[in-house]
Amino acid sequence: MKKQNLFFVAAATLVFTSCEKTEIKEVEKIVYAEQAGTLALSFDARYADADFELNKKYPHQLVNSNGTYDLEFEFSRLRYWVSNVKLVDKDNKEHAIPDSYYLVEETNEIAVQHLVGGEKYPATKREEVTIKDIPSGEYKAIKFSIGVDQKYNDNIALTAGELGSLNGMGVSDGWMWFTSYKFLTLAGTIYWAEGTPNSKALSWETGSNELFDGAEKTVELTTPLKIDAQNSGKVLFNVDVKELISATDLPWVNNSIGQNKKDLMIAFRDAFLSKSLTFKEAGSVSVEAD
Amino acid sequence: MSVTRKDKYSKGVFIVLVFLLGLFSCSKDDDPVIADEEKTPFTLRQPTFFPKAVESAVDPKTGLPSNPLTKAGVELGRRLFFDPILSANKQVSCGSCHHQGKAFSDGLAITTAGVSGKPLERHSPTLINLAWTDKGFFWDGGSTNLESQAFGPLTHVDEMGMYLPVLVERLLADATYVELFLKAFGELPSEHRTAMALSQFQRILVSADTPYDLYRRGEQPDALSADQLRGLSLVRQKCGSCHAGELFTDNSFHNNGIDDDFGDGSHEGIYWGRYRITYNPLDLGAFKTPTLRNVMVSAPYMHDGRFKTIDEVLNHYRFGIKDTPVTVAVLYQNGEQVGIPMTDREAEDIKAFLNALTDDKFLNNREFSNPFN
Repeated sequence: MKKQNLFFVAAATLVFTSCEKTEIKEVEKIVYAEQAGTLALSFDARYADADFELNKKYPHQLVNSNGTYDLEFEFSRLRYWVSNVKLVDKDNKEHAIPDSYYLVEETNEIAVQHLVGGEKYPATKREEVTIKDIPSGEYKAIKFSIGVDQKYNDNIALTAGELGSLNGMGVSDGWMWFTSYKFLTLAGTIYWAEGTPNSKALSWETGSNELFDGAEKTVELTTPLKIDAQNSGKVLFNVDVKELISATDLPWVNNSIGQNKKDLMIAFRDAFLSKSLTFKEAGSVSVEAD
Repeated sequence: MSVTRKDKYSKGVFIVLVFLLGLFSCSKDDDPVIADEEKTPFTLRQPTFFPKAVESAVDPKTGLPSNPLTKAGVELGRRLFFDPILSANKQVSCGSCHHQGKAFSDGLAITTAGVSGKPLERHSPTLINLAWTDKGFFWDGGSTNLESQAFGPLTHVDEMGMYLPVLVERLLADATYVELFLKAFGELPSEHRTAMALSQFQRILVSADTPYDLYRRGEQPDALSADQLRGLSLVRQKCGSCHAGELFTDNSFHNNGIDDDFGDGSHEGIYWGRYRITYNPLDLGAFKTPTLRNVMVSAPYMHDGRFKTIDEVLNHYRFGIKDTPVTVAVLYQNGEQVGIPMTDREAEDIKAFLNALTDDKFLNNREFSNPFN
């Protein structure tokens, strides 16, 4: 009996969802007619010239004012919010994409602290974000932020886009600071043969409303990107984790970056925005008519 | 299928189906019957002389408060508040540590009533007039609003230890909750609606019927004795800079000189107080001012429950305040001598008045009590 009823509930959920979608499309048709298109944003995690891999030791020679050190970095998680996507058209008009909150991540399985029965957040790799219902046009730049703006960051009970506590970054696997969101996180282990001990946990995180100011990235596209019902756009970015490590000259000392080290949080954020994240290419692909 | 069948699950499914029928057309003309009940607002009591209550945070999509009180939402929240289904082992509810008779505190310095049985790191606070709390929740204000606050105890490994996906599964499998969530929000159970319903219930916990209030509003001019009247004046004069106004709290954060060593940064800075949130050195050891309302039924006192009696508290303010660079300035006389001077007689009058802040109506209000009893 129970199982049957659960099925009904599940069916109801599906219908709710499809209904909502229908309604949204009806509204947007009025605005954009049949001209709405799709944009895919791809964030390809790299380590220098190679694909980024979790659970692999990367040698890292650190040179700072004290000398030269041979370290190794092994990663278990890279995760960040891409939010507030805006497209800039030929006439410099900005088109903000509503509810654009996307969690990009590459993570090992995460054990959740609780007593029910060993639930775990599964190992996940998600690098591509698909945005539908882009108004047709030619776009010369794209903007987005890394993190979550205050109105949502202050209230995790609100939902928009992928925001919501069950969607990976929420409280279920500890992705919360004082009931707000973490914006960017890099976790793993640092190894140093001469250190005592000779390995340390790496935990670098950013968050807080203050850090959202200055978290916007603007990418000028080399050629305008055409998006409409016949052409879907695609923009590729590289995210070089090797560049992220450059956030501090003293990674062994600063193996943990968080709210108690604001300057390093800012340095970590800025390393992501200005060094790690780079534009690779963009283009339109023609879509076959239905 | 009939709703009169005893099987609760069938009832839930029936309601879901009714709701579905309403949605199939996706037309606003065909609102399901339950919509009327769903929309019935709950009017929050706004006691005379109280400041204006804080509304729930604005929903950026609508520009309106994101969690307006409704009768169905408050009732759902009340049930959730007292339901141990919200904890990992189904044995701990919010009400396990928030007892109505103690103004929703628990009478313990540090409880071990959570799912792990381990002592928590702070004292269970009272839940009084939270609709007026405008500077954050938890002893350090780490949560900006009630809705977000709910996720703290729900998921804390030593409190309710709940894995939210499991919570949602449990609520979806419970026909009564499916029905109540649909009534309250027009949606199936979810973790964020759970937080919203809990917040709605907590916002209606208004305490404004103490002898002091009856006196203040002129409803019973002789409600306070001569001792209590002197005590009222002394509280306003000696305690009123923090325990301010009709709420008897400024809802703010102060270091009241109970400690002089803030070197222990363990447990994610739990002993740092507000500094843990702001990283402003002046906030070291600062904790939220609790209201004095119902103070005589909510011992022990302080964020860690270290003072067992109100006498210990008064003795602290008279003789025990530690002089540190972060002790709040209002605790110094003429900027020099630390401590609040008061005679024994004055302390007795203050205690007499504090008794006049006990709200029997609040402590016994059936609308706030456990619906399962």
